[in-house]
Amino acid sequence: MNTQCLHKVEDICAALDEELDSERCKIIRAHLEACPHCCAVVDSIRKTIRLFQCLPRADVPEEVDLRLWKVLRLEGPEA
Amino acid sequence: MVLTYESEEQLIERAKDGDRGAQAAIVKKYEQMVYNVALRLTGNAEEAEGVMQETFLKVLEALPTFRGDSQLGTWIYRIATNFALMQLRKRKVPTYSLDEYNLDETRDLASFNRAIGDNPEALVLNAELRQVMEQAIEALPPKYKTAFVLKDLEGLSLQQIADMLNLNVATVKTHIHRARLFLRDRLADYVERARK
Repeated sequence: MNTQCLHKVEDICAALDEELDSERCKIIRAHLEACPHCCAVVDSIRKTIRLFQCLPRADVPEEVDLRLWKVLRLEGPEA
Repeated sequence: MVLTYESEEQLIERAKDGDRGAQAAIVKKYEQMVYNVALRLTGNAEEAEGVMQETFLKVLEALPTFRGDSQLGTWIYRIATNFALMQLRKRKVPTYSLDEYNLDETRDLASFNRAIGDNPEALVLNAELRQVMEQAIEALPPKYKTAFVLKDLEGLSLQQIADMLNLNVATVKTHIHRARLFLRDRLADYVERARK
């Protein structure tokens, strides 16, 4: 990765999130087309995000649920 | 029994008026969301339960003051996040900056990308990898962890997160970017170890 690429990496964050139609994003895209290393950086971040998004979400354990309704003095769905 | 309501606005108004069924419906609707945020931020089931209880006690107490400037869910996220961060401060979780976090220029990201592949759902079935991922989130300093969890795991917008944390959007972006690089490098370390 050359120094120019390193400077681009900060901008890649924006490329992954928003402002996809911005002038800045067009410049980043053009750079990515010409730079395999930065493409790999972007891809690695995308894959990382996707992988973490695949972690299962926890269900609230039943006993935790029951204690919550008790603390709140509300009738839960099981009451 | 939790009743159903025509709209969230109606639900909020009823709950503000002291309708216990409406209050229960709000708790039920956001319970899992709050528990997951608390669990991700504290990394501890017992603390997550405490955060969830404190959050909903606060929600029910403060509901009459809720003006609807943000969505109810965002308001509840904010309360839950604040309690979780307070919990981390109580635990004196060491905090350090990732702002100077250096990219490893020699890292073979093409190999990493091939190893992760295009089927992450199948990869996370691996218990050892899941543990590495959980530990990596846990190792993030609180401000980076919070930004990452809220954006990438909970799907909040940058503006919502900025408003919740009283930061500007640029700072939130930086925190998320640093967190992603940190997490990717932890994963890449694991992939490299596994290959040897």
